Amino acid sequence: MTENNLEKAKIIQIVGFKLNNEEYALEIENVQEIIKKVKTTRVPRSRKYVSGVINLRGIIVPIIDLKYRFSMSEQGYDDNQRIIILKINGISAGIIVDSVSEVIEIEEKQILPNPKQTNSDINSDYLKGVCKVDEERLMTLLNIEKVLEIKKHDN
Amino acid sequence: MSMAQYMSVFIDESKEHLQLMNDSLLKLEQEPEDIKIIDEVFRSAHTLKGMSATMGFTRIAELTHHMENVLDNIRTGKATVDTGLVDILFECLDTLNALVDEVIEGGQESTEVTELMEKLEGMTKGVSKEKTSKIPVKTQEVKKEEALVSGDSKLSMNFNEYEKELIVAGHYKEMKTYLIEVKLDEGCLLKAARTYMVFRNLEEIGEIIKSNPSVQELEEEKFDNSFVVAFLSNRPVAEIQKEVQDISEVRNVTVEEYIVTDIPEIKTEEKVVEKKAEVKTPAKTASKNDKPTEAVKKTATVRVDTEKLDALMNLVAELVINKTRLAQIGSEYNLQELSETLSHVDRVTSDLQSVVTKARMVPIETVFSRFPRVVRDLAKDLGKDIELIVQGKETELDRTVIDEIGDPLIHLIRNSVDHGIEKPEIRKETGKSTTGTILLKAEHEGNSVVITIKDDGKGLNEELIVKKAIEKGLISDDEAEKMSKEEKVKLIFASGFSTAEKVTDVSGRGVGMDVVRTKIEALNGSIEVLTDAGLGTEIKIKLPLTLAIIEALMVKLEDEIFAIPLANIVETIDIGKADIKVVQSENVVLLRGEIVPILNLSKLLDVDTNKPEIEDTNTVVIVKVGSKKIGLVVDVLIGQQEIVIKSLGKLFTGTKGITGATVLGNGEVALILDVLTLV
Repeated sequence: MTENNLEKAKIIQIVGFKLNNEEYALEIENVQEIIKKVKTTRVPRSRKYVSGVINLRGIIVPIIDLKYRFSMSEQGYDDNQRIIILKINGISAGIIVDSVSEVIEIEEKQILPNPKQTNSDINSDYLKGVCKVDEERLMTLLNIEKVLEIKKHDN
Repeated sequence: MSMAQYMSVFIDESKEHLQLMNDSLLKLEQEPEDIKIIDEVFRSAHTLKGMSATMGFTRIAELTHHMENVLDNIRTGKATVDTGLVDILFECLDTLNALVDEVIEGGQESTEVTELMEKLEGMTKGVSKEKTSKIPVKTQEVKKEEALVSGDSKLSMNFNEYEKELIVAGHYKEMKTYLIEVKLDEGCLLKAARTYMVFRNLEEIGEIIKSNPSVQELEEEKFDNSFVVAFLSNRPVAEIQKEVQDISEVRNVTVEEYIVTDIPEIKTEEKVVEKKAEVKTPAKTASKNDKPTEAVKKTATVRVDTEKLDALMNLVAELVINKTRLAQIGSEYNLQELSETLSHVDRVTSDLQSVVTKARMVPIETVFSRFPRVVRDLAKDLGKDIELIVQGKETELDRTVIDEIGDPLIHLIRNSVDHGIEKPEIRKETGKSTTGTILLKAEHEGNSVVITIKDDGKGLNEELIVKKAIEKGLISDDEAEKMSKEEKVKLIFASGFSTAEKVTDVSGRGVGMDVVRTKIEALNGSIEVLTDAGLGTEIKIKLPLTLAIIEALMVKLEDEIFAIPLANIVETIDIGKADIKVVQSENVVLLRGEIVPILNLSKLLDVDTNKPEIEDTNTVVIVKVGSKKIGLVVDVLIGQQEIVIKSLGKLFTGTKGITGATVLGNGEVALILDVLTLV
């Protein structure tokens, strides 16, 4: 590979996780840490997809239920569930996921645009594209800034 | 140190000196005869000059240089202090402040200084013309002072102003000034080391003011075999001689007392001595360090970002929680030794917590110090004669409270000056002293700090207030009739109220008191007014010591725990179903003649529960919302405890009924209710 090619092949690290049985991914820059699921404290009168708040080493962090956010069906909780703590523009927040799979390096060109016609319930604003990890495996890359940009998208 | 670090040192120190200068000028206006104050102003100007010249801020340097000239004329008796001079000095101070601010913002000085410098120059010139006849006499005295050497002495040394100050200060501490000549052996190899030992030995029994050659030259061995130091000590000559003579390779020591003439009278000796100790040499920015006066002790301080303190506080809290968990494990497995160690850890953590809390405290002086100037300028503009008495400025408050309290206080003080205190002629007519007094006082009262602003002005006229309030449609005639005097006076805090007959740029825009009240309440404080028409007004502000910790009542709804700030709670009572009446489809209870609505907290907060809204017996927390009361039905009262308030973060701003969160002993989060927005 020449210098030129190296530059073009921009490598992105993504964190893969599962919601129900579908695979999703986040860019690693947004991820602060991953913790085991803990009990959240419900915040009355807050938006429904906010599961509550937790105490993360003395700091109060809001936790968002992604399945609720994406209007997915709830399939019960198990031990594999994790909270991914995100830090975006100085704001910390957590998302509940069913399991965290791995950190994967992909080239930018492996990210394909969203298929226009989907039956997905997820608002297409929340998606950046689909990562084609290999022939068999596809992951939906989330636009997490948009997902957390609560004011704009909530009534 | 990088340039940026020099810059922050420069900014901090120049701000300090400008504040010092401000304080001194205010004092000078009161006691124009006091030469000590002139000296203080001179020193600040001098230090500023040095620092700014080093940093290349020429305008500040030039202006302070001109100020020095004028001040020097006063010190040497060539000019006297009058109001015109003080005004110009204040003008200089404002300009310097503006220049420093410009430096902070963009690093460039842009405020013009030429006009002021011309004024100052005019003063110095005017002096030399007017008082020509006096000059020869004075110069003689000056000469005598500079040649402050005992008659038949062989040793001599010239001192600058600062060093002279030290000598004078020493004199008041009953320390004599000595000139010590130290001759080292011809063959001495480690001259610098010997010199160091001489200095060290001397420092133990007194204070070294100056040396010739300078310390730096001595360190670099740039001297032959002898040097002279000026030394302050209360020990006899013989002892000093011995102290130095005992060092090996010192051949000869000559100690002579240095007779200081012309020591000015001062009233409070200790005060002057203290002041001397505070004087900072611009050593950090100066390129040459030729002043051994560095030995003057300073309190070592470090400026810390409050965010770092918050982080520290969080970590301490987390430590406490984990300690509790360890204690639980200890008792579960019956580990005696662990429990013993943990009780020690317990003490350490609680000490740690209190130290961190204290670290956030700042004396209210930082706010109060602005006010003398404000009062002075305003009183002058309005042609009033006002004395401001400040008490308890050492009272400490949380940094966040200090930052917020300045504006409301300044507003209240301006009100006192503008509306409270009458003009001298009116005061005379009513038999008051022509000088009005404003008392500004801060003091501790339990877990809060009370700030009092009291004036002996004309007081508030409650009937006038009511009239205005009705005019502005704030209340109706009927309402006014039912009001007590206190309630009427309180109307000044209603929004859109102002009693000023004309709008001045001082106060009276009709937003003032309302904003003040809102701000104080936002700080979890309260404000009250006591007034006697004709005699004056007293405003009391009560503030919590810290915003970070509050007393709260913890309550349980099903398995959820909530905290209700104690400041909002009137009482807790049990109410039977029979006592609860339905009025206009609302549940109410008659409590000592007052109708109090009863609301189910679980229902308000959408708690998942099967319980009926009203049970046979109900545990009710009575809270006050403004002037009204509301009863909240809860499941269980857990108890009262001190909680650390934490922000819920940006994602929850505007969530009604919730003001923040706190971490419980088990590490879980409980929400703090905001009673004002709950219903």
